[in-house]
Amino acid sequence: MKSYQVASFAFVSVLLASRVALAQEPPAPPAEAPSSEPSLEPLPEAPLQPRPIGVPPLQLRSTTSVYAAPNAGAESEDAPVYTPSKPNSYFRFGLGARVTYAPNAGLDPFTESDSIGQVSLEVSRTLLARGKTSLAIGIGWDVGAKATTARGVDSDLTHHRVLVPIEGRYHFASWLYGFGKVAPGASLLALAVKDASAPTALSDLRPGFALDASVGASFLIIGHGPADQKKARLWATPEFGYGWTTSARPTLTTDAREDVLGVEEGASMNLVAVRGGFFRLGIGVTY
Amino acid sequence: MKNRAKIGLFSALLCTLALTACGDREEVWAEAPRGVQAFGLRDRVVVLDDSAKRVVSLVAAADQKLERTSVRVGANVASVVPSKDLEKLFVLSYGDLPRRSAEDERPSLTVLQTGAERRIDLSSAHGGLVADPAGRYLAIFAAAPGTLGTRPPPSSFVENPNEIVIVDLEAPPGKEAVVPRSIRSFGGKPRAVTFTPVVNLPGGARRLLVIETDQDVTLLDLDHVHDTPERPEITVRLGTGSTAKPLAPAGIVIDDGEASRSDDTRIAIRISNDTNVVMLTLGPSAQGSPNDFFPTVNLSDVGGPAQDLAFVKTDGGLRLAALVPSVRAAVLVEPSTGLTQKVDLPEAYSRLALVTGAVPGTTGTADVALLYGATTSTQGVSFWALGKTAGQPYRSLEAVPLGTGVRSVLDVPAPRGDLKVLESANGNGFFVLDLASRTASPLVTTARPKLSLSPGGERLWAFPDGGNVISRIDLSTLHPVTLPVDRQVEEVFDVTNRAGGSSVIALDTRGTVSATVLAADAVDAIGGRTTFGLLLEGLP
Repeated sequence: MKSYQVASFAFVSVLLASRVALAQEPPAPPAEAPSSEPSLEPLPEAPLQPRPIGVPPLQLRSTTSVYAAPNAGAESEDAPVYTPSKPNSYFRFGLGARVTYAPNAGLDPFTESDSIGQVSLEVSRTLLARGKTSLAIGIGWDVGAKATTARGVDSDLTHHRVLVPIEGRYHFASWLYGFGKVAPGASLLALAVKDASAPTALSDLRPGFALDASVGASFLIIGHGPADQKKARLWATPEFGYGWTTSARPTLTTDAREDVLGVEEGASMNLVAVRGGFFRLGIGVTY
Repeated sequence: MKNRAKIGLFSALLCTLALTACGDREEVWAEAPRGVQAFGLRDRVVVLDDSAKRVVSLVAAADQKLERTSVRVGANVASVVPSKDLEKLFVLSYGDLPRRSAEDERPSLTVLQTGAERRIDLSSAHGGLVADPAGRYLAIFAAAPGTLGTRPPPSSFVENPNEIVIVDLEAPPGKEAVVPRSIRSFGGKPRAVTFTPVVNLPGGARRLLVIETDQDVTLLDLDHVHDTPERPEITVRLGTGSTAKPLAPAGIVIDDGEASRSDDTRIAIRISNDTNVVMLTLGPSAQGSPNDFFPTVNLSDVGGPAQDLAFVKTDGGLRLAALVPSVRAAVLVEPSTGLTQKVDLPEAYSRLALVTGAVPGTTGTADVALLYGATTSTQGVSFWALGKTAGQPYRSLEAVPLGTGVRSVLDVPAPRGDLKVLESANGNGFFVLDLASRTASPLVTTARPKLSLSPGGERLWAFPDGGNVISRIDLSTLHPVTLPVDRQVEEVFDVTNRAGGSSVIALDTRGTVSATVLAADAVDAIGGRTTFGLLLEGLP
């Protein structure tokens, strides 16, 4: 098993363990509320009051707020303790591990397998939220490197994707939403070999256009509570998709330097394109 | 329940991840180039990349750009031999040994020439390859371990050492190009094969294949190699008759004799473990014999193991000249009678080259030989005028003292055939020997040079192995021009470029190989082009 696979497995295991551990904690009262329809209607004549200090808060696992009606002697006990915000609308900061399965002969000198592991960073903002659906846009950066030997000389590859994800979400429950994402952007492939017959490393940078299309789901791990409560939440997000980049023919050339005799020409390699299915497992913090 | 569902979902994702992360690259990327060798042809340089089962052909364009072409050859290359005219390259491969699947390759021979390749599958794997100087035949045989130019097989396998595979590149229609023959064995194993020129035998003009084993010599009629039933080969067992010790042949020379006669073709064999030389005279065979010639064997004692042989024309007629450095002499053998005449030499010369055509003033009735030797005790070369051997053999020698022995002699191609390049034994330089003026011009180097001649004989390239300069010596003026090269230089080839001009290609065979191309008449290296990573290109 490759190191990134081990890392991914460990990552998933940690997430699962934390999720199970949370699930085994005593449930916060009350039990899960319906996701869309409140069970109790707020009473118009009862203005919201701040909860007195020392009274435990009402905790409901719902995407909508549940407002308890105040009554005599217990009026402060059921009152919400926050200023509600628009449900399902937040900033999201994501960190993940992505593995792209890209069977491409041009990559063979730089990677022993057809997969490329990357670290993903992403930030997005919900633009529209209506009912259970929302639309977010953001910016993401995937970066990964591989190193191996090509015909006995050290070789390496670094692949960057800078993408603009446009993400449609459907909020099934307060703890789960699914999404579909399209992410156009730029790709940058840095390739290098360290050959004994060359004075410097032979390298090339190949920019290109990139496009990802993916679907996935986010599971709430930490931060249960009303969906309209503005608070930090931690999500686990598995994602499947297909990544595509334009192809290019790299020419591995020496680094620029002084006192070069004549003209130096590089090795013309096979066409390179990082195209294929990918899987990403990430965590995200929303606020 | 929800947690179980989530665990299931995560597990499915993980399995998918594990499955999709598989996929191996082509094996060739994991293998370092092994046994990289370069061969110069007339218009290109061919780099052998055995671990990738290919050769890379390098052709210089007019602007010194390098055109690269990858050509597939058989797996596990055994021998690579260029043709004498430098137009073709023959690549013999063992194939995959042992074959474990239908995809594993059989032994094969690949013939590379400009614009065409020909792959010939073979039924058995052998390592030795010899090309016919006339270009028609190839002989494939079991080379002895350690034979120069032959690579060891990738694994042990059963090999019939007495099988000779003859490849006829111009096989008549309806005839197979590949003809395997198993020669009769009396315990010997083939060590060397030689294609003779056309000789006039009692049955007509013929070409022969002479096979030297470690104890006998076999003659095979190439002109009847396709016959059915096959004509058997003739095996001559070598021995003195006085002892049971077999004589080990170490080289042959052949002479067709007089043009008007068909019974005076002679093959002389020098013996490594005896003082005799063996002379075979090919005369008519007995009636009913499957072959129409038959060898008569004569032995002549030359006083020591002969190191070199040549048939020479002297003022006394045709002679076999044998160099015997152990007695510091040359011995002339009269081919008909076996009578010998010893000529004392000033040095223990071990090599002999006929230079008759290059020496002005020779009549053609007598040869001139250049004598040189590989031992450091030899202090130069000598011209041996064979027109004076009958009466005054001691006056037939003219020494050219060099102050050092001669390691090797390079023949400068026409039109400068009057020049020879002598590589000094002490490694401090080389000499350009002018056969016409009988002068030897020294060129001094700071390290043992590697030498490479242009195909047209205009230039000589000298360079220290692994250094970063190459020097061009104009052979008409002997003016050296030193050109710096950014890379380490291990091989230099002077080739004809696409525009019909000349370019020089300098190779650094480390790593994935780089090549620097310069105009052959460049005065500096500014106009050169270096291409890196040649063995990274053109792979699947």
